[in-house]
Amino acid sequence: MGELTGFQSLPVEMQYQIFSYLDLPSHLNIRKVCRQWNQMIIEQEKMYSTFVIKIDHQNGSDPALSSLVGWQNLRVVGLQNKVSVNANFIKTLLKIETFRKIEFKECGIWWTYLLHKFAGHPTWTDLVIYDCFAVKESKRQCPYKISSNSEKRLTCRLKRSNMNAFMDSINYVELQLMSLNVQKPLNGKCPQLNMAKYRESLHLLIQRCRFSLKELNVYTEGLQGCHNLAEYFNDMPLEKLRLPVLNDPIFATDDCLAKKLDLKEVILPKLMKSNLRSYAPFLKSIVEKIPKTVTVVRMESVEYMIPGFFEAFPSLTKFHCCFSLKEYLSGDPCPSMRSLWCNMLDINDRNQVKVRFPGLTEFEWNHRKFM
Amino acid sequence: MPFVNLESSDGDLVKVDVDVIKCSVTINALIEHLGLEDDNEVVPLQNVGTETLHKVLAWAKHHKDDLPSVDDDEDDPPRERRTDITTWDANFIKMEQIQLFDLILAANYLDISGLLDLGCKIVADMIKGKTADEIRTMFNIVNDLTPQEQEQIRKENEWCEEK
Repeated sequence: MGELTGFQSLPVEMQYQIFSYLDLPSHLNIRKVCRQWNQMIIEQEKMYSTFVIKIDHQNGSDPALSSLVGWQNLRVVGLQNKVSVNANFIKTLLKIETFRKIEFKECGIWWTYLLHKFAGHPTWTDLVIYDCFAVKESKRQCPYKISSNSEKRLTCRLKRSNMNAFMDSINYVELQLMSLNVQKPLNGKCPQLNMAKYRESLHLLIQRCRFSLKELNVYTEGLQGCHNLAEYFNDMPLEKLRLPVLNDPIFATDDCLAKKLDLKEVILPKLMKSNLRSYAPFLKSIVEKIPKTVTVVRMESVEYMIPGFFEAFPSLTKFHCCFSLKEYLSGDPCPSMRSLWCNMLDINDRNQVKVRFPGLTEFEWNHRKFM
Repeated sequence: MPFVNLESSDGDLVKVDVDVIKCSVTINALIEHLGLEDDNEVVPLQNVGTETLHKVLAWAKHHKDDLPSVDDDEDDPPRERRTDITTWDANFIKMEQIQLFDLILAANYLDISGLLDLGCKIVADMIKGKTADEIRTMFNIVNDLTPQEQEQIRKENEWCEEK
């Protein structure tokens, strides 16, 4: 064949970019076009989908990992607590240098070891661990260090019952994370939870990595004492924050939030057992403290909005809310807004949305996209 | 207003308002690094023909007052990127396939993300909803899959084929 023309003259990256605009049925369909396209779709899957490995407890054999070369996202289910069972699997896994995001469900005792390996791994950027046991580590292996410029992210969901052991492990771990997501501990089933210990551990974790944290998402509503994190705020170079709890007087009265001038994105949680009367004043005082340079605000509450909100944040480009925006559609246009997400909006309000937000390029309501 | 002279691969000179071509990362970098202050300075573009260059400039002129695009969430999977195209862009992009691919290549070379996105979206739209046969005809692609490979693809796709 002579010189390639048309589609095949485009560089491969651009062919990938074109394919990335297609949906799944189209992807499956175009595999049939030619060998190269088929290969590209397979490669693309490896980049954007998650491969799930289930480890078979009965047979105890490690799954074949050689076929996973090229994948970027992996979820591992069913890791066993016996070192002898999964050691080879972990060793092989560490050698594959294409994975970027790894999730471990039932991470077991492996978590401190994985954290250690994650810290120094050349390709892993995201580690997600659920339900981890923790064991006392020998000092020989410590300290683990995750450097602040490595852009690595850690998400952990800790089992309540294991908090005591977790506490011991974290003592040896030096954490310098960019981003930390703390989920609520699993509900029920763990009568032996030592709440005081849990609080202590959470605080320790955040205190440990406070100098590097650019993103902090804390979901601990209803867990008493877990939200008093404001004391560490001054040290954090925060760019994205989900407030731990809305009615924390510290955020409403202290200036810790107002000083976070690098903040780009704020997520405001619901008030526990909220009612409008108590929610409004808290929301108002907190919104006043948020630096006016933020570009993204997401509200998880359902009821209430501050009058003059959009005027107060002239840099806002993205706004998510779960309440009807109907009452807030009249007012000066907000030209900076690009993306709007809300539910509970009448179809008749669409034109008003366009008048208020003339620069909108992305608009979704009731899970339907417009524009 | 400062100007810059662009030389197409056909050897034609086009005088361009710097403000118009600022969307091109490549030319912006050139202007900054070389400090093209003299109005007679010429930037040769070896990969862009005259016809394509004029197309690029028409697009750049129309979009010169656009605000810089908002950064997409890192978390958003690429497949869910928005696919809206304005009426102006839709009319602008109506052209022969060969010109379209030249335009995409030029946008890539000049590093104009908005135009590159537009071109790629249009090609994706051309692919959408067509059978493999129609796509091969459209792009003049030879089917080099063996019957075995075709059978394997059919099997792997089975779960989502319409009955």
